Parts: sequence; C-alpha cells; structure tokens
Amino acid sequence: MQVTLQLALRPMWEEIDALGDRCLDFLRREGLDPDAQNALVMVACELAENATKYGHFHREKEAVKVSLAVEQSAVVVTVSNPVTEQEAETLAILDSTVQWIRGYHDPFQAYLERLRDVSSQGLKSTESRLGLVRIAYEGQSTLDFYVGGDGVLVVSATFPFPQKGGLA
Amino acid sequence: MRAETFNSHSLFLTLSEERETILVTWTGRSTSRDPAEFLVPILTRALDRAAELSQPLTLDFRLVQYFNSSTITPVVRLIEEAKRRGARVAINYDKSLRWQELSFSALQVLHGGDHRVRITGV
Repeated sequence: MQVTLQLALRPMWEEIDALGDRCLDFLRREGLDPDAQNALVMVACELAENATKYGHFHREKEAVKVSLAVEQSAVVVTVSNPVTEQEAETLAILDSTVQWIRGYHDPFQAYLERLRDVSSQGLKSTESRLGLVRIAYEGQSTLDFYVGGDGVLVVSATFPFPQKGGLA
Repeated sequence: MRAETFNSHSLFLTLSEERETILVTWTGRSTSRDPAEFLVPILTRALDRAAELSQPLTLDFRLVQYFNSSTITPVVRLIEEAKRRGARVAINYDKSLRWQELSFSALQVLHGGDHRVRITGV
C-alpha cells in the first residue's frame, strides 16, 4: 500500500521551513527511522528550494507541488513547478548535473568533486550547486526529471529502504 | 570569556573567546536563501580574531538541526581561507546523527592529511 503526502506551496522562501516540519511529521507517522526522516526532509527541502528559485510563476494559483509517497521498498519525493522556454538554460544545467551524478558509481565521489570545486571559489562567491549532488550522496536518492506537455518540470528522488526497510 | 550571539531566521551563531580557541557555536536551522550573507561576516570576523590571538578557530555544529546546501558553501570556503592564511580550524559535529556524519565525513576526506584542519565527530 502506498501512503502519500501532497502539498502545494506558494513560491516563497518562507514556505520551505514549514515544508520541512510537515514532511517530518508525516514521515514520523509513517514509522520511518530518524535517519531516513532527516534524509528525506533534506531531499524535499532542497528540491523545493530549486523549484522556488528556478520555477516560472506568473499566475497567482501556480505553486510548487511536493509529494512524498511511502511505498513498500522506497520513498519517492516528487517536486514540480511551471517552466517556460526562458528556463531552457536552467533545464540544461539540471540535465547535465543529473547525468554527471549518474556517471559516478558512488555518489560520494561526485559530492567530493563538487566540494573541491566549491572550495576553490572565493569566500564571497554565491555559487553552490551542491543541492542535487547532496540529494544523491547524503539523501541516498536517485534523481530523475521530465518536463510535461503542460510546461511543468517534475523532479523526483527515490530513496530506497535498505533491505527490509527504514520503517522502524 | 566574551560571547556574542547573532541570529538570522532560525539560525543562531554564538561567537566566544575561550581559553584556547575562538569558538563559533551553531544552533537551530539554517534555511535561508543566501546564508552566506549572514554567515560570511561573522565567520570572517571569527577567523580574523583567531589569527590575531594565534588560536585555532572552532566551529561547533553539534546542536544544528538542519542546514541547506547553501550553508555548506561558506563553511567549505572558510576552511580554504583559513588554510591560505596558515590558520587552524577545528570542526565538531554529532556523529550519532547520520546526516551530520555524512556531511562532515566528506569534509574530513577533503582535508585528510592537512594538519591545519581537524574535523571530529563527538
């Protein structure tokens, strides 16, 4: 049986704190162990941050949609936001980053590589781009994405339960 | 000992001068869009003071509940800046929390073998 939490957030930064709390409550109720809870809250918040930063919201009702689906063998976090042709560069970066992470057998190595890049930049540089690789390494999740015909970018992260499960 | 606490949203940083180190204690959650804006001036000031007193700078993350990836960036760059200046940096984290263990063990590997950087799970 699958149990799902579905949320619609306004594309505002302050919504992300509340998202973390609601995800944590949900995952606790579903009996996931604390380490899995923390990992999945991080995954949901990092994806929601990206959606809020890079989504194209031009109508009031457009939202960042987040779902957490607890399945038998995994939890799937899905975050979606509207995009237009103006986000082509963002989508190209997303694509190349996901492909780059997949090129590593061990996401830890990809994370280290990115940390090396980050550490070589000046203290005042604002560029990070650690979020997706952190999801793969620290969040132990497999990333995927597609853009639907309705102009909605859907990014998913699948967190597998180790063997018999993270369900406590 | 002098101590000063700084706060941004739900993140608190307490900067204190201990007998043998300049200590920055992190508590709460770091979730802002650009945490570097808040963190860099405080961390730079702490590093400056550590250099002035020829003491190590200690960053204690044990009480942090969560930080976003944008928070990691200024920390990583501070370590590099400290190394450039020939300063010493110690980082303490809670090794019983898997997310902290994963996050900081990566930094440990990155700086393994550098005697100026000590990253310890407590």
